[in-house]
Amino acid sequence: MKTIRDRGRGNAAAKLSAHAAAVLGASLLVFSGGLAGGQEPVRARSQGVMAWGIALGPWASRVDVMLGDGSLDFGRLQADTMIDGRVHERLGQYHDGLPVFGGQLVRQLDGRRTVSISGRYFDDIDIPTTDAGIAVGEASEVAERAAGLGARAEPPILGILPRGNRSVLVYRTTVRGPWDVRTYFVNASTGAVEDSASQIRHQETPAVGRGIGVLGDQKKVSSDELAGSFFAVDLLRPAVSVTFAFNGGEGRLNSFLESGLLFDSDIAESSSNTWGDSAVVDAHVYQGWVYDYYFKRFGRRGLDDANVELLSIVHPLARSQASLYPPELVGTFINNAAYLHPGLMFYGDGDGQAFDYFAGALDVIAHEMTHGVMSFTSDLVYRDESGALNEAFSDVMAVGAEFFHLSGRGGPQKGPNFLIGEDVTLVAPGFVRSLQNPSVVGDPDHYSLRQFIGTDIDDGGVHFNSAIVGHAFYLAVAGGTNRVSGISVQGVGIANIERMERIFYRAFTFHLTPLAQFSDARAATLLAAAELYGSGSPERVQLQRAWDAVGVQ
Amino acid sequence: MRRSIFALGVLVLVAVPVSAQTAWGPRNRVSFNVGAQFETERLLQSFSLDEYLEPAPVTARLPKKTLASFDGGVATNLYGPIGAGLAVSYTSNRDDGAVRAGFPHPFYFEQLRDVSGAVGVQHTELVTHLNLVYLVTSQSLDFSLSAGPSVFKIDQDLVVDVDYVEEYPYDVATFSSATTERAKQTKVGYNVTADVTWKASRHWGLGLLARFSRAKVAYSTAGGGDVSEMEVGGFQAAGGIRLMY
Repeated sequence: MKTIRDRGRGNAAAKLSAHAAAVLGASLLVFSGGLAGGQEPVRARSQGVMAWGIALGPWASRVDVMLGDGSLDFGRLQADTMIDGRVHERLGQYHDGLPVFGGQLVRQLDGRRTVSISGRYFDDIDIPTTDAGIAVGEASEVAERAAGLGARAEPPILGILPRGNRSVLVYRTTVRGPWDVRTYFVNASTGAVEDSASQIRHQETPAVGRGIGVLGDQKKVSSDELAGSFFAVDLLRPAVSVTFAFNGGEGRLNSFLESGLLFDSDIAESSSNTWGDSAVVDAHVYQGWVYDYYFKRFGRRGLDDANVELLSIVHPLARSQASLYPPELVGTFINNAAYLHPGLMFYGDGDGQAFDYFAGALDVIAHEMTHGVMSFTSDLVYRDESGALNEAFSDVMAVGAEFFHLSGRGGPQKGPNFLIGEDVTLVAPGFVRSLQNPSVVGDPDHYSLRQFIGTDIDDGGVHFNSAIVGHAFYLAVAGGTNRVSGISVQGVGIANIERMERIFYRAFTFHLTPLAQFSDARAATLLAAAELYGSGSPERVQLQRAWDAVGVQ
Repeated sequence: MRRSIFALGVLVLVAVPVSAQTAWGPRNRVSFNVGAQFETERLLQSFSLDEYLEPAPVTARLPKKTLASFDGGVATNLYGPIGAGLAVSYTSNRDDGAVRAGFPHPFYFEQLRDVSGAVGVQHTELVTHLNLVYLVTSQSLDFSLSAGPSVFKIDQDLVVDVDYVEEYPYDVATFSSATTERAKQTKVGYNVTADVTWKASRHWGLGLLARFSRAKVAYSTAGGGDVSEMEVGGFQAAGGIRLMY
């Protein structure tokens, strides 16, 4: 049988080139371009903007003025994959020619007509001088010292960091350390570290228990044959997807984190195309499934909507060695999964007691990949409320991917459901988070119960507080009564979950900006609901009531 | 086709009714007929291909058709109204068959994508009938009944592969073409034949023939794992000239 596909399969030499391209892409991508647009852990008073309809007029003209005087400048342009003819311009804020970290507006255009403007803009920028008191090299040294032995900083960028009621002239740089990749803001006058945030998006560290192996269901693995061997390189999808197996060696992980280099020898391989490593199978297959979910549900082509390579690493540290490592390493690289911008995912082995192989959960992989989508769109700062939104939207898309792929399929997976990590959590209550009933794991289900904002605990409660938004999504879909407010929501019905997924997707990819707060998320999702289904639609009505129920106004 | 028709001319034509030896009747008869063969079924193929780790079921069906037939024979009296005859009939055509297949999805188990299309298929039957003949004759009409074994020589194009086009996300596949191979088989079946001849003179006349013949042919396709069965022959009606000597 001769099958003609839209992706040509070349000869062995061509496949070798494909491997090399993927690996080269990995080494370049992991630690370079993506981090330049990284997160800014900014806590400041900003003016939230969510203008459309009647309110749009003053903002539309004001944005034009700001573009004229240099207060705003054009950033990325996103084509709207959900409403034909729409585009979304991301406009970065500038002050005296310097970027204001976190200040960004999104202008939605329909042809030449402005449809909406959203984002966060800092009106009260006031700095005595834009001349740095320390040199670029000094800023790098400060950041490298803060990151620890062996850390290396990327070239710093001078800009303005809004901090509370003040603004600070800072250098922003991203530093690769032995076990972390972190963005630092170094005061350009004093050399003090003003703030920092990890670039690794990870899920919560779990409780401890005992478990069994991965789920054991049969899947199809899209691989690449080369010289009689098969490699975990998916060439059937528009985005090349590669799964690497570090085989648990501490040295390999450490050298990778320091250098950012991935090699052909790291790519998971099978001599017969029958794959015995279940973590490799699930990471590779689910990565493809999540790509499919985004494509089929939203018309999105990968994390950046331009088919950036998808790279997964399994066995970053061996499960069998878990007892030898300090808890923070186990929590990051064994009992966790993580996203590293742009397009790299880690899936820990799990210690076999609290967690199974993290790659064995479709929702975990969808969650991590959604962090990637977010980094290429709203780039929600991974701290406090914006960080909680980052986590919450990742959970929402994780649930959506489960309903998309697992509904009616059968198999050992426990979903689809509104739980996160239920297929790899081996200890009670059997999942990491619940969008249906967050309080089961002690998470808040009402805005009044949020915690840790402004602290270093959980990066300002990014996982903890995300449950409030996730619960709003649940209520808007399935309906129910909020435990705290007592407000009941009918919901649009699980059969219509796709509609709510599209609303949330539209909100975080098109309308929200890095410093969005919960109130911005409410406004953005309601705008998206009105755009997709109408102002008086059941979707918008139910969603509004769901936000009311969880106390987000 | 042209070669087959030429061969037919050389073969000459075969007998149908055989008269009993009478005082006025000739001993031997030669007939040539042109008519049609009405088939109940031509071909139903069913087999599997392997694709993306799963079987891809394929069916190919040729529609019920009426085919032009050419028929000739010789017959001779043996004893009283009983005689022996040898007849050869030929039918051939090329027509579109319907092909359906379900191709597995490259990413998911148990998710077949249906494709369907048409494929040109050649079918040829060259059948030799060896008959025992019973003849009833009168002044102007001869009527004969005959029956016996038939040797079917069948040339049949069989679908052995299906090509299709797919593109990401591969939820839909589109039929591109089907590959056929010519299978040749010889099989013994049977026939029952009736013939009426209006005698225009002592040595020639015009006749009508009705025959039902049948054999079942089995083919192994797609690596021999699956069998496609085909019923050949069918009901044939024809008319032509009769020569008697």
